[in-house]
Amino acid sequence: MDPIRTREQLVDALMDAGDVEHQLMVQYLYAGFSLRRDPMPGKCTPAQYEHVRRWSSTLFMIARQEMEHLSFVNEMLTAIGAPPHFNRENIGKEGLQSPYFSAATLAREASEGDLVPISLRYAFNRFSVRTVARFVCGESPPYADLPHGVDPFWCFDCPDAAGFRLEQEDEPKTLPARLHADRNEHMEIAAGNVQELYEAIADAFRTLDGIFVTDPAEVEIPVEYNVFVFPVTDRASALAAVDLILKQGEGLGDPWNLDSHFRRFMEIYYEYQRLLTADRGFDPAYKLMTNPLSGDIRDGFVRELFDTANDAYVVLLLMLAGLYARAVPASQDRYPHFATALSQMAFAPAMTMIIRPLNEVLVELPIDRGSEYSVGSSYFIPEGDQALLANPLDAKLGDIRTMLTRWEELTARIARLVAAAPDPQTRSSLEYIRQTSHRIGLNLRQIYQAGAYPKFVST
Amino acid sequence: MTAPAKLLTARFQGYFMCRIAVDPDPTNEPRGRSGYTMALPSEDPLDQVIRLQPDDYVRKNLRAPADKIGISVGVDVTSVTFDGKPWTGSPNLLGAHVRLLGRGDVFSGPVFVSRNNVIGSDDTMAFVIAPFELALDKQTADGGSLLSLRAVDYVNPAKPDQQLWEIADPATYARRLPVSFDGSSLEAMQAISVFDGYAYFRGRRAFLQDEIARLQAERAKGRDVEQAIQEATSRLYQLEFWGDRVINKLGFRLAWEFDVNGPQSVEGDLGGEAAVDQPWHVRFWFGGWDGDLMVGYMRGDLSIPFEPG
Repeated sequence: MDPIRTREQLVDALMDAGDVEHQLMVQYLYAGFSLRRDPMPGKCTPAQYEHVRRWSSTLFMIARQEMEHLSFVNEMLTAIGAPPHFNRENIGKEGLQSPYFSAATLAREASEGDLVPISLRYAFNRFSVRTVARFVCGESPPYADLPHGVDPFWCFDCPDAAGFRLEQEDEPKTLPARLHADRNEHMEIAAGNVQELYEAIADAFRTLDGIFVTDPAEVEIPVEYNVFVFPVTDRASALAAVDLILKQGEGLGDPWNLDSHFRRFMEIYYEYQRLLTADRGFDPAYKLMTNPLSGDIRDGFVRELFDTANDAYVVLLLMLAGLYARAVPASQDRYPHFATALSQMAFAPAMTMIIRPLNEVLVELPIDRGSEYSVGSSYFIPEGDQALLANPLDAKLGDIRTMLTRWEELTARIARLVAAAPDPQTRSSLEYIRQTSHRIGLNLRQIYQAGAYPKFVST
Repeated sequence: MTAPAKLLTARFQGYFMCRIAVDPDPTNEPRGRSGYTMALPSEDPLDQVIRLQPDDYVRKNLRAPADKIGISVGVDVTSVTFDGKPWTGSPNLLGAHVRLLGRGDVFSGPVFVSRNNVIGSDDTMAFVIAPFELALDKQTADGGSLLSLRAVDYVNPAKPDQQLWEIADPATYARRLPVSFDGSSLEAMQAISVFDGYAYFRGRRAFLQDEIARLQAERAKGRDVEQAIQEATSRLYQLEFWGDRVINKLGFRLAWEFDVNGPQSVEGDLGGEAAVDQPWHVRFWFGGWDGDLMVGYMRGDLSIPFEPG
């Protein structure tokens, strides 16, 4: 990858990094939601279920850390005066190829006789051996940086050693230089892997002078649940953020015995293989379609639930885009409490109480009567919202009425789903989500007007 | 009669169980996927309910080594005073069992309401307990009812059926939020006799590791104990994965205090006349939380305007 020499190139590189983190996160969530929530006779014994539970915990933790990385990238963008970037390309029926994960990129320094890395396509796959292997590959450091003694076979096209063969080797050898054609044309950045991308970003932060704005938006997120977000406002904090991202992802700079996404996925892979060897009938995940589209779903209720879950995600993105462009430190919070309202509702509430449970209901419902398949969110962003997300400084994203309208529409959709639910369990689960969604709408309004409710004194 | 000015105070304490889903799990999560609490396959689902007395659910779901380390669920009245002095009237409330009764629109009993920062605040442990129906019951030797007190509090007395998720302004239920939160309470640690949380959970991990080794030996002899091995492994995983987040809750102490605003009643002979037309005052704390066993300690008192007979 060529060095980054200008602020504009740095902005483009950060947007690429944001794309990567965002796409990884939604794929991890798709696989995570596919994991069983209970033992299932013939597919998953109670003992096997405990493995599944631990994988769920790990996978969701990694997804949270991808959110953390996405947050860091956006903080870096706003710290240098660029708008935040919460947009991303939709993953279509055929998946999506990022240049950072193409065989041509990953193999470009390979010599004859070397193992050749395979292309890794973004795709919504249920949790399976192949899916986990793809995740390992995606989080892997380059061959040269693998710790001594760590077997790299599965990051490469070496089916005999791995005992399975990953798909999608037929990638074009010539790749676009960037993820999006509509980016500005200030740079000629060569595609590289994610580690190289971040190393180039770090070098840019070390060498470029005068790029930080004096009063950047500062998003305050509690440090908890394995998420360690801190404000990025200057060179030191930007470099610390890049360092943390690389340690958590590829494990670079950390001792091998510390956790990284790469190592955790690798451990899951080996554990999964051991269980399959002992019991070929073990199936830890619901049978979710690959890369689902709304049109694939023939059951009207399930299709509406699918679209509603996607909409919840999009509304969250709008809130995040509005927030990261306009955040102020809590100490400077005054009416109108726009950023406070968004930050109080966007993180734990919208993610854990709306998007996740909608998905958990969705994955248990067949896409058609008698079908063995179900779906999770495809995190689809409609064209109109893509346009809005592409311009976070648009006044609409700074207006509480936009957020309230979208949230109230979402709540109304959930209410209609409650009324139409096909069984008592689904109705009960959706009703709890509806209640919470209703209250989140009330909170957005209340906090916007009055600020966050003062906490009692802790001793 | 002049309204009683002096108070009969029943002090209660003991271990409670609350098998609660924790953030980042949704607050109605029945199995536990991403938080540190979980319902193992051999256990009932997490139901979030605060239980102050042993029932079938508690007996089934209280994990080892609770009994070996002296934990048994049961919040009982341990002292009674009148006007600040020991009350020796007979019969009295000493030994009465304390319960929280009632059910909400979602759960089968009283719960700590949070909805992951939508209603309460996980950041400062600001939870409303809803519904709130305090019961003190004392039985005769043959199991009949000797004394029975009830004190119900409404979040919004003007709309007793209103649910917390329907309320926009937290000030409406401010009186039902904790009045204090101590993250390292000596009182809580004294109550559970644990002063080094790290040592306490090192002991738990050692217990689980020994249990796994024992079960593996059983498995080597051909016994089907794989489920038990994996359940113990998951408990170990949670302790190691979450570390301080579990350990530091041993020292937590959240205190509530308010005048009860709903119906109050006394059935049986309390040895005098309790005023049910004046608000009773309740204060209590929950804390000393063991996130592996999902039990903690409760201590508090109920004060009733009272005139001895």
